[in-house]
Amino acid sequence: MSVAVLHHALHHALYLATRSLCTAWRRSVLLIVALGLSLALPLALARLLDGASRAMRDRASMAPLLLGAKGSESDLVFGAMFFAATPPSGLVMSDLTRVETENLARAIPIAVGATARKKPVVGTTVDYFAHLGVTPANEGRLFATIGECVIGANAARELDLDLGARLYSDPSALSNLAGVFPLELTIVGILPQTNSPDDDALLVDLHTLWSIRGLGHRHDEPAQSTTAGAVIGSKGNTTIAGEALPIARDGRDGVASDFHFHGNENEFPIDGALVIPSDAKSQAILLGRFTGANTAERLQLVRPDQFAERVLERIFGLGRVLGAVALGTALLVALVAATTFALSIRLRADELALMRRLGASRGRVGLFLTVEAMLLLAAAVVIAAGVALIAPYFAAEVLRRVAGG
Amino acid sequence: MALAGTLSTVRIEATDLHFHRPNTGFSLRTPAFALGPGGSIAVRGPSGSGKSTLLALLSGELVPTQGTVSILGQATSHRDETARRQIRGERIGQVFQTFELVASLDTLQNVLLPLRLHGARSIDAVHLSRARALLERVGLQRFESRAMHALSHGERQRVAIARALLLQPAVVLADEPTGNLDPRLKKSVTQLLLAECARSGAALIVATHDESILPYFGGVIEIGDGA
Repeated sequence: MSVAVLHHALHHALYLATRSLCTAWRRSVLLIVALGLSLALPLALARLLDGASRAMRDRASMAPLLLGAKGSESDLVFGAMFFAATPPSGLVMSDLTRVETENLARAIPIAVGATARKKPVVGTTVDYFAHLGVTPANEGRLFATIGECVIGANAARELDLDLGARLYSDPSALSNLAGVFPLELTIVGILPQTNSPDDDALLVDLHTLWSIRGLGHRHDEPAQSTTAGAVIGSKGNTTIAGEALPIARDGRDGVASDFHFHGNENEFPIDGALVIPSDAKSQAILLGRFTGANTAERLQLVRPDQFAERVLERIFGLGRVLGAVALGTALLVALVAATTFALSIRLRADELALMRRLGASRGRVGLFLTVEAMLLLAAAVVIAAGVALIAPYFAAEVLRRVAGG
Repeated sequence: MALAGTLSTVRIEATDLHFHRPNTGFSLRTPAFALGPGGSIAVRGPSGSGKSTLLALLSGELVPTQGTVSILGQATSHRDETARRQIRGERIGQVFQTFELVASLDTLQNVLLPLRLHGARSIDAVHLSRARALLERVGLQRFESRAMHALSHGERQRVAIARALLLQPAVVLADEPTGNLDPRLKKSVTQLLLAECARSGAALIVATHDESILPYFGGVIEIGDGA
């Protein structure tokens, strides 16, 4: 068969196949979707796991070491770095000196546990942004006072919040209103997209988070308060405030200067600290101090990168099982699709016989059916590619669910 | 049998065809005949007598046990399957009792179907013009974009006739072309088939058990019970 004849034969086969597929469009759509999904399943799973693992490795590499209270390592990493779990409690501000001593490292504190409109509120210092090399976009700035916050790109978009917008932190539970105190937050900066858990969080100064936890507050001068029961006594020059004294929760001007904390800030709780050793030797020394045989040690120092690799190994172990299941499912669906296609050919036996009677060779009829199958397959591949392409965007959600689980 | 049409340009000739189907007892023997341009013959016989088998022998779908079929002076019946198929596609137009049109194609594209099935060329303006002219002659010029399910039986058979004549065949074989039509349509479709074959110079062989259309044909071949 010459090239010209083949060209014309293909052209005619393409026309007939297209007409056939369009006429039986319901059957065609069903076959395309079934084939497309069967192709997409293993492909999407592979890309999903790839995207999730890359996101996890990137985040785990944000700090060589992570300090926290002894307890679950995964709770510490997923809580303090991914804001998706509750880290073990027991770490306080003064513990940071243990890693910062002798200039072995610098530590960036992280406190979690509060939310605002279901988004995590994370307490830290401005060093956090300097370390990550992230600054708010456009006219925004970092937080400077209590009540100010910097919001991640996703959270800003989903909550429809812009610079200057205000929102209250959530009470932890309706039955425990006294545990976490709603505090009005003002957005002063919006972070650019970082494809990290920061995108979905509100970042505030540690003092803001402590205030949400009830460790700091703002109220009228008790002696000048008009509220009955605001003052329950006095001792020398000191006025003793009663429980009736109203606690201000809004974030109006001057809020920072009015805020005060009771107790020693060095003993205030934090949930973790990113530890950046001065050099490799310092890192080795620190790891030696915290991972030795000291069973009385109440803190732990973990390597997030190694932890991530262990978790990913488990995920990929699961991924391999899921991959096998997806492949099996894909083969099954492909078999069903192929059977359906074969059945549709049988149902059109009269039409194909007519083609033969009108002088079409077996090759021409075969070419017509092959082109039809190729068109179906091509459309299915487009669907599969589309699904596989968008799969990584769900990687963060997968990570969150893995962390939450 | 006398030759109908012009002797100098024999369209189709069959010499003492005999066909025997092994293990069934079926046997078919027909007299010799030849047809020139515009010539027509009706093949008459009861159901199962072998009318369709005779048409299959003439079209090259079946190979006779004895005898020869020639089209345009060339023996075709004992050539290989590929050659017979090629001759069938290029030299023979076919009309079937059940119309046998492709549901996914409209009227015009059904007429053009033979070109798509074995044509080595693309469909050009000449082909389109010829197909439209054929549709006009069979009275379907307004229906060229219509789907097959939207046509009546009579209209469908007229589409099949136009399709059979597209490649200007030497011979048109029609198997019970009026079998699914009501009496009023039988006459008009038969006349149309005869007129268009005469116009294009094709020989027409029609298998039928319908006595009412026999007078329209130049000759009649009687076939027995096939046993």
